[in-house]
Amino acid sequence: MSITIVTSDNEQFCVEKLVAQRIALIEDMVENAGDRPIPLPNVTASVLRKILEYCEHHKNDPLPPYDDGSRSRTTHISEWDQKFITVDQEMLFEIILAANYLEMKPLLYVRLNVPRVQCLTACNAVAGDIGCKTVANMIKGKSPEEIRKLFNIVNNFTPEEEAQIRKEAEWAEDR
Amino acid sequence: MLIDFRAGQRTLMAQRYRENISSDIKQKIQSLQELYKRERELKEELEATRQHCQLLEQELRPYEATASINHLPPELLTCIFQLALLEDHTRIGRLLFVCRHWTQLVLHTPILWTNIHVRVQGSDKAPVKPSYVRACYARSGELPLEVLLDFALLSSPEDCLSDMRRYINKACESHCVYSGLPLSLAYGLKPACSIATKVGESIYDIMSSLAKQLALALASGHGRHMRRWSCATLLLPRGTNDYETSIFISFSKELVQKLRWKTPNLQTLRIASFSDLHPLRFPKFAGLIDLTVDDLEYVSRHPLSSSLLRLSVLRPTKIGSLTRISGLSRLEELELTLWCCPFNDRLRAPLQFECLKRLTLIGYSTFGGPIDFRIPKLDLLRIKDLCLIDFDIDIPTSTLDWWYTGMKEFDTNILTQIFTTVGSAKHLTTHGINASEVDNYLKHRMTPPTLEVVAVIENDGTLHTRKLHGSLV
Repeated sequence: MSITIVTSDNEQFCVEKLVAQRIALIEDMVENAGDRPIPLPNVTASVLRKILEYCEHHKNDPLPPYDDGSRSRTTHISEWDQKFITVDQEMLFEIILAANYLEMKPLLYVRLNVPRVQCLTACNAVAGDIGCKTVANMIKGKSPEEIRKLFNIVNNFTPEEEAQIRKEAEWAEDR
Repeated sequence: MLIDFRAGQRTLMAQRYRENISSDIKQKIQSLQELYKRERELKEELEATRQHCQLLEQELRPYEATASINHLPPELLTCIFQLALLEDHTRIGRLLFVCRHWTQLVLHTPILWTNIHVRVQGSDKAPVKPSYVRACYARSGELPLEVLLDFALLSSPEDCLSDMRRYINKACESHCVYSGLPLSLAYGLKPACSIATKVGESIYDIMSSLAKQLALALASGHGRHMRRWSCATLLLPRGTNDYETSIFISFSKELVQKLRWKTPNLQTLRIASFSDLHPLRFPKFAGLIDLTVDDLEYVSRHPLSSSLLRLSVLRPTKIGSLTRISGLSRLEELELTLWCCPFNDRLRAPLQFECLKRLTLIGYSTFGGPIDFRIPKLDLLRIKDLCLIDFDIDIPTSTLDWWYTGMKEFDTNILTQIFTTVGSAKHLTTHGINASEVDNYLKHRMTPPTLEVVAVIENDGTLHTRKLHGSLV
């Protein structure tokens, strides 16, 4: 059995239900949609193609029998996932944003083993899986200047602001 | 003396010409000069506009892309920062200096400040400052904290000396302040370093003094913030000889003394101590649910908290130490690292756990005799780094999780043992074995009738699932 998904640029994808079910948002919409195509106004065809590639590869993955938090305590990414996520930066962020919209936790998130009270705060106890892990790995070990260069971020501090931060975080020097 | 009459005549003529020039031409000359001036001004203005345009273009470039890092919603960026800081939280300082958006997000997101990593290890790294601890306390609001206090690699006085030689030379060569050591001190120590072993002790003193300052910062405000500790990891240095051991024992005792305040919300404690012979004495942690210790001897003078749900013991080497955990009635998860563990508890009492759901055995062997586990509700048995494969492990479980790490050359006997150990389990997961090996085994051998699913996770993380007694998944 298959379902039809329509992207923001009006491309139609005929997807096996087992594959589409990896996407939480679609799984919820399937019941109400009947035979009608499911619109995804926030996802372009090129991004959906990548996401479906991921779903197809992981369609048979069972949930792990027990999550001891060890996986989420590392930024390790399996070999296939690493190859999958080796894309240009724009596509990487498109995938993260789309996965967030599609509520695709396996692609986007893994649970961080944080205490319960922390779960109620902004981060809501989830942290990036392959998308977020990839970006985190890109940031690791880099100086602010290197990070700016990598992500094309403009240094928009005034000298006064920079001095203020230096004062605030004097402990951060040389780190 | 020669007088140049002709030159004087020329000057005179030019002067008369200027005087006689018509006002109309004079006006035109003035207009021309003004136009030249205006041209210069416009050129300068144009150059300034070009530079401004370049800056704007640079600033707008990320926004032209349909997606960039600063397009991510704050909660996702926060999660990325959390992941980036997992190994070294002190790097949070670097994130503050990237751009205004990151600074605002980092400074005003308390959860990013709930991990405190305090490490003092030799002289290779810039030391963590007590002000970092205070910043974490202040910015984390009232959230629970995870604290890492890692002094396991604190150099001994001897190591400090060789470290310092390298360290001082580097500072003197680069004429800069290196890793927090003032240049004047570096130059002052250089001659001393080459002749006196005392320098090593001095540097050790500096490092250990810093470690104690950090412990004081952690206990600041009469331990007010220690009440928020939910997870603490305490790694103390371990001496390699009697001299070092005696130094580290006194150091560790003093350190722990500084952290004497109550931690009523502490749920997870991981501790690696400095010596098997001189264990630390812990107060009773009433609310502790998760404990990791080197050896149960460390908690020998206090009964283990009956609230414990998870226990990990790295070296249960002492006689009777395993028998002691048998009474933990609420324990749900147990991890035992049993490398060559002489499990020779005299009474050979079975280890009975009524509520245990997950058991991990690392480096299990028959050395000292097999352990008689009695676990009626076991869901998951995880076997890692098995020492020998010539004995049966008879522990009934619903799921067997077997990690082959290549310690012994792979042969089909390993699979035979895995499928024997499965017993009446419904699920089996293997790690580190090729799917083709498992497929081959499944084709030619009988498998237990109760086994329903075999999941094979290869070394590169690829997962293969096989449904037995039915179709291939």
